[in-house]
Amino acid sequence: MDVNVLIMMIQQIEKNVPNHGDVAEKIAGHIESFWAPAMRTQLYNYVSTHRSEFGFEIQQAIDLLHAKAKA
Amino acid sequence: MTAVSDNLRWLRNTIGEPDYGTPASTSTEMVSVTIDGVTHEVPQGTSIMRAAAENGCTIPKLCATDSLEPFGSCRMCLVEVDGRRGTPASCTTPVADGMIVRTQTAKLAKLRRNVMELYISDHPLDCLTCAANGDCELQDVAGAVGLRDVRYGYAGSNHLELEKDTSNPYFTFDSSKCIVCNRCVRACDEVQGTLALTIEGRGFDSRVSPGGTDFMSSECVSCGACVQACPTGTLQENTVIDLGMPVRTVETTCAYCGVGCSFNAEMRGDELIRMVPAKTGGSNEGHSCVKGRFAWGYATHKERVTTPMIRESISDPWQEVSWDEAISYTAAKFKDIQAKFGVNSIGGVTSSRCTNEEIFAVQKMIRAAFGNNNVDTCARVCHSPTGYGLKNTFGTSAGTQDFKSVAKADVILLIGANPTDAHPVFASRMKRRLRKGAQLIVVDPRKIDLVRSAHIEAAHHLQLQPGTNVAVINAMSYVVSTEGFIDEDFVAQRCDIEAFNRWRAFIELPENSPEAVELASGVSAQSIREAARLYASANNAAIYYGLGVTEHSQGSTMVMGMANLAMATGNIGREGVGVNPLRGQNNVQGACDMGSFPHELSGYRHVSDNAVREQFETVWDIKLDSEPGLRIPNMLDSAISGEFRGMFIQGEDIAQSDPNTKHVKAALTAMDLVVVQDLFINETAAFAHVFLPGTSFLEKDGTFTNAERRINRVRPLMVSKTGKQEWQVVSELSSALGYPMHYETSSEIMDEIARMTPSFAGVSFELLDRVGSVQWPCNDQAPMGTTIMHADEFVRGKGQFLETPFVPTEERSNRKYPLLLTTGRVLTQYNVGAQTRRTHNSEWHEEDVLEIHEADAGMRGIADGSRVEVSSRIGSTILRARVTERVPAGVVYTTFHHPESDANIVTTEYSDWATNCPEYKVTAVEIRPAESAPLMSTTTLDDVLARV
Repeated sequence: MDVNVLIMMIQQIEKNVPNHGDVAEKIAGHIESFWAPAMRTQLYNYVSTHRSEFGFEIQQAIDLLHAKAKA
Repeated sequence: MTAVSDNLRWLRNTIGEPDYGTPASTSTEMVSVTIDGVTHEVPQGTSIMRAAAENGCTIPKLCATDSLEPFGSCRMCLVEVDGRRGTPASCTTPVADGMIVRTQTAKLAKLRRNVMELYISDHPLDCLTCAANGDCELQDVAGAVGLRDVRYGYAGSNHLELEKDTSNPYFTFDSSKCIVCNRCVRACDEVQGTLALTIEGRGFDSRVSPGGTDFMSSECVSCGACVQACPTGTLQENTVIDLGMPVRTVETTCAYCGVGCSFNAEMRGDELIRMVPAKTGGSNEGHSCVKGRFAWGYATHKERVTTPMIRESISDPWQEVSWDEAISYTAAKFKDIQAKFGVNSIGGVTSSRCTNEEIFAVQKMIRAAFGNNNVDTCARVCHSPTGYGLKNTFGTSAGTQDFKSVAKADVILLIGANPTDAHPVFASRMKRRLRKGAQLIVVDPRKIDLVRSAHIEAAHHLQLQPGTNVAVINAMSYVVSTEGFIDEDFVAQRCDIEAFNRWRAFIELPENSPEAVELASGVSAQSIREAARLYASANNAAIYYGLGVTEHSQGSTMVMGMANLAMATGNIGREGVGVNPLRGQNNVQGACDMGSFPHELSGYRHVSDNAVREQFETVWDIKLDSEPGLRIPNMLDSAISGEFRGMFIQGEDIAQSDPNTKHVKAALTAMDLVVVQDLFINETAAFAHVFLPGTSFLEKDGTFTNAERRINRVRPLMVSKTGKQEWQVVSELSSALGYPMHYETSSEIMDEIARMTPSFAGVSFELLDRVGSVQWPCNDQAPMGTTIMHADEFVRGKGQFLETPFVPTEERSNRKYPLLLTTGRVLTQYNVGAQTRRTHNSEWHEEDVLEIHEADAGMRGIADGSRVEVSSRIGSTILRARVTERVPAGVVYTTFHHPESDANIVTTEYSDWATNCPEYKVTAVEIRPAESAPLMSTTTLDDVLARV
């Protein structure tokens, strides 16, 4: 699917999850719970080559998701 | 009433229900009364009439019925009481301990006969040709009192020449038959709360009138309460006039809104004559609305499709085929797609208008036969944020109360809901409570009817800007927290204190103060403060909300914000309080319960939970995917990019109901196989390759679960017009796909649901047939169900406060699109209108209209009734303008009941951050005069194809 949709979705999650504690973990947890694996992979592939376009929390969340997927 | 047996009391060879004359007393004190020589114990406050009726002694009556307060006007129910003078009316006289009553004496017989003579002297003597023949209390009472002649004759002054009012398409008002008992007027007042009827004139000239006009032009909402209350043939259903009196009854459940009213379907043979609301119905207790009571004719509409159809391409004509051919064709196509594009290239959608059993079968087919979790449901576009928000705060994805609970509320906080249109039977309950003194706070951009209507005026109307719910609820919580309204004991005992402290620190931030949100929300800080104080200081304060909460980019945040407010003030866990979603469709709750979401199995258990998944794998004998599947918008986006190629759509019209219909149609066009299971060739079916005809609720055999978690039976009144139940078709398709699925009856499916879903563990058709309905959880801990949730502890243990930052939507008004469009429903139409548009309901609402404030209309040169073009960043359509003060300046409103207007061509794909529930309630638009344009959207097939 259009990666721009996924980017918009993750940015929206970042803005809305409660911002106490580990925000990256919350973003990753939400995506792991509700996104199909293909969506996660597509977003990871994009973010890994365009990291500078994303804030720290999203980068961290993507890394967490990738690490989990590899485990 | 003749019950065949306890288990078959829903099936009767008679019509009507027992009428005890006056409402039941709620007293727990018992008193002793002797009636006609027999002594009975009855609750204190019971009328003599009811005490007699409950004990098998019928006192003649005309103006009394047990849905109304006693009136004492007809003088038929007179009795003699030892030690009291005269002959008191038994309906208005409560029993007293030791009272001795005689209901049948020579004196009483003479009095009753005299009164009846007067009634009959001004009543047509046409009993044999009257539509009410056999169901007329006047006729019955005339017989009971032994009336043999009328000494006054029939030549005196009378009302026999009065004209009938046939303006209402569903019932006829024949004033010549009216005995002016006031039952209809009181029903409109006490039951419905509309007060459309009155008595005009005095003395002999007194007549029932719908406000000096005809019924159709009046304020009557056609709920049918007056027709039901009428003891004569004065107010009569047109189907009874046309077809004759029904002879048997089957109890079933309405298929419209989430109130889920119980009805007695009154039949003759297998022909449905009328639907009468069941007094035993847990959700409606004998009341109904125009949709459930009258708008069921679509089931036999000439446009109904009852034969399966296939076609190779959507440009080909449909070809009728046998069920076997349709199923094998569909299975082969799905298998072919998966062989070429992978197991995840297909998926499906379940429908909230289907039964729990049908939905369970579809999600099982997708998970087991498709081999993926690409299943979603139409709750995605309405109440998915409710599931997310309430599960995270309280621990379960459901409302906390039963509907009856509102009668104990002292303050009602109504947010983003318009119950008089969308949940009318619950609205009547709410109005009854409000007229008894409860206070109302309305949070809504529109001036809905409940803001100010007959005998009701909201204490506060927070007329906020669309998209600012979270700002307002946070500000209310700010007031609660900073002004000492926190219920410290409740929070300490029932909630996670660490989370509460974190929330309190967040909510007391200056950015959440009423003053800080005043500008963004458009609501004065003073109003927010006063509303918050009113809510927080009530003994019992209840929150009710609708899609005006959920259909926002912050829908889930708002649900959590309301849950925070209720917990902070201790308004959870007893009657009269709670957080209550008013769900849109009849079985939205059930569709969610049944495992329709791509990440959850039935009972809201995540697919990644190994123990739960293994339970299903053992019973279903197949390996299941442990990862979430695609949601509806994900499926559509993936279709456009070519990865998602086939879709099974059960009873949904996504091409009309989902946002940005241009995008939806492009996605449907891009797929290789679209299978629609529905009653009619709807907008989505225009893009389908297979049409599997569905069954109407009059043919279904199963259960619906309403917004109060009430599981009710839906019973087949007639054999399926397609020859099959929908779950049979799904089972056969699953088997053809290679996963054998076989059920003999729908009750077997419920048995499987109960085995595998802890909150349904005690549910069976046998139980429901025996007790009527139960509210889940229904299991060993609560064998008869659960009325109020979270009574002693929250389902998740401790209530969880969550921070709810207000993040404004990306959809903003600007100079090009300066107005905000919000959407909703009207009373007489339902959702995409597939059902109601095929009934007489369209006589009230023939087209979607655009409500626009006179200031916005004036500056654009728009006159009331003129055509206007509504344009957003997404698309445009043409609607007729209604200039009104119901919407504030800067906000416009419409409905999406009619495909011609295609209102969702303009709504955007912005959605809730947590659930992807579309943001129907906020679309920036501009409105221009379009006097010469036809009423239709301006999307063309080229537009659609250009998106592919």
